[in-house]
Amino acid sequence: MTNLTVSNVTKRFGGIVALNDCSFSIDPRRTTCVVGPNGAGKTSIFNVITGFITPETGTVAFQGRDITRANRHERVRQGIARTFQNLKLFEDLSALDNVLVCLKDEAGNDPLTAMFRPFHTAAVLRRKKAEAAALLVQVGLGHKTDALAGSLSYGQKKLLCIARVLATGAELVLLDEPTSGLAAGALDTMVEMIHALKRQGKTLLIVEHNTQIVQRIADEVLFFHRGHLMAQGTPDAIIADEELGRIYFGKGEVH
Amino acid sequence: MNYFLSFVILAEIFSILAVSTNLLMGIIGIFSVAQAAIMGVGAYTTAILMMAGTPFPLAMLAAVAVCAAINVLSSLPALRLAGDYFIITSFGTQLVATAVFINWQDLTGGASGLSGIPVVEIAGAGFPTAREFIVLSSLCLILVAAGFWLLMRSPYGRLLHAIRENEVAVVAAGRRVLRAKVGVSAVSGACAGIAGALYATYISFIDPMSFDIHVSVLVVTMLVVGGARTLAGSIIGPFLLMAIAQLLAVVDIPSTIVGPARQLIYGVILIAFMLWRPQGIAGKRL
Ligand SMILES: Nc1ncnc2c1ncn2[C@@H]1O[C@H](COP(=O)(O)OP(=O)(O)OP(=O)(O)O)[C@@H](O)[C@H]1O
Ligand SMILES: [Mg+2]
Repeated sequence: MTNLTVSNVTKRFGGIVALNDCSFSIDPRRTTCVVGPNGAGKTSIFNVITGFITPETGTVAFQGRDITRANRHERVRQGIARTFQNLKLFEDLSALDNVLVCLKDEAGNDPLTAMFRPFHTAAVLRRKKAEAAALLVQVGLGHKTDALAGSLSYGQKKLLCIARVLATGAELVLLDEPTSGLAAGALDTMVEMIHALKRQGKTLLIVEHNTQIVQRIADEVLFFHRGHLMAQGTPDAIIADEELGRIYFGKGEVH
Repeated sequence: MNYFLSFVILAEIFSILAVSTNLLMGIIGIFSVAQAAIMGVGAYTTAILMMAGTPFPLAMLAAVAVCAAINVLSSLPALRLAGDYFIITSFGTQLVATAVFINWQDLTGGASGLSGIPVVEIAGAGFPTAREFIVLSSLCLILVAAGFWLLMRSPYGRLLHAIRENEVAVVAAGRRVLRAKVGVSAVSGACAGIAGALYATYISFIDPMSFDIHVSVLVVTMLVVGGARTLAGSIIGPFLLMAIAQLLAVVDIPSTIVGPARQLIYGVILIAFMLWRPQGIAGKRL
């Protein structure tokens, strides 16, 4: 039943312990919010799960397989994909191409096919464009296919990141602060988007600072502080915990 | 007339070499000053094989394969890491290649080079003079240009563009960035091989000087002037700079200063473009 298991993961950067002996499991089709003050280790745990950093100790298993040292592209192929806190869009590519490049299907992605089978490649391109366009419609950017990613509003850029991560076909989707920096309208659109992903059956791991939004989307919450996983529980239980509240709000966080 | 045909043929050969350089510089974003060396490997391979009796198509195919492999090997360190230091590595590749051309006497004829490279013959048709050869060189340029164009508009081309924009995001999407770059590098090497095969058979004489560092820098200059990242840039640059060289040859100045004058003019043009029009005439910003 469990599809992601992180066991005793520790990661240091010089003197800083970004993750300190963290262990937790996530069940399929659940939405888990990762919360905690700045520098708590939230992005670091995403990096460990997606292979952007390798922990000094501990293991990560996905669907029963140890992936602690798997290549990043292997993890995506096994069904784990992420977004970035700082988006990392292809600003100079159209919204459509941003998604197209991320499609799971490898067809047309090699030079020999591109040069020596031009008609086949054109057909692949048409099919991929249609797939990418459908994903843009799904995130509400159907009217922006040809717009350069760099020209989109911040809210639209964040939706484009969702379309890109969906293009990989991953079932475990990690979203790093999908709602941060969004104005009220865009915020509601994003929360609605997250609910749509839940309905699709995605397993979601989401870094989220806003406790009201956590209550709206989370089935479960992981609370990090200075690299420690302090608590795992339901949103209500975590938010009711006075000790955690003091850590969280005592840091002068803006909500 | 022959003079003009000869100019077009050489400009076409350099356009193919510029496409090779463009694939590394404009598309992957690694700055190479070794493309003349790779072309040289193609030229020597073709010459040696043809002088041993191999038909031109086979010799050229071998040159293409050898150059693709060597280009991949020499660019591999840069493809793995961020490419900032590749200009140094490629400089090393260029020096090593020139040293090999000069010193592997048995194979390359050393400093005096190889002469008497046979005339191209394909399926009974010969290409002995510029009048015939221009058909071959034009055809090759058209094929290379078509290949470049097809590459860039394919899903693979979009992937390469995305890698230039944000490599980390491409990795996060599950794509194999190194494999994609190796593919471009191989195509780049293949183009240099085609250029080398044409050069050797057209001039019918090659020596180490034909493929030294000056030639590599010249190709980079051509690409900067024409404009990187586009097909038009790879063709405009070589034609323009070689036209300038032709004009200099016509102007009545002592033959001893024609060479230095040309270098000087190329240098000034390179600096001027870098300062005022870094995207070149028809390119996009690097
Ligand atoms: N690549 C790195 N090199 C050095 N230190 C790092 C690196 N990545 C993270 N850290 C440090 O590890 C700690 C945890 O960082 P992390 O990015 O995981 O925090 P976070 O919980 O995502 O914070 P935020 O809310 O600010 O995004 C921080 O002290 C950070 O400075
Ligand atoms: Mg973070």
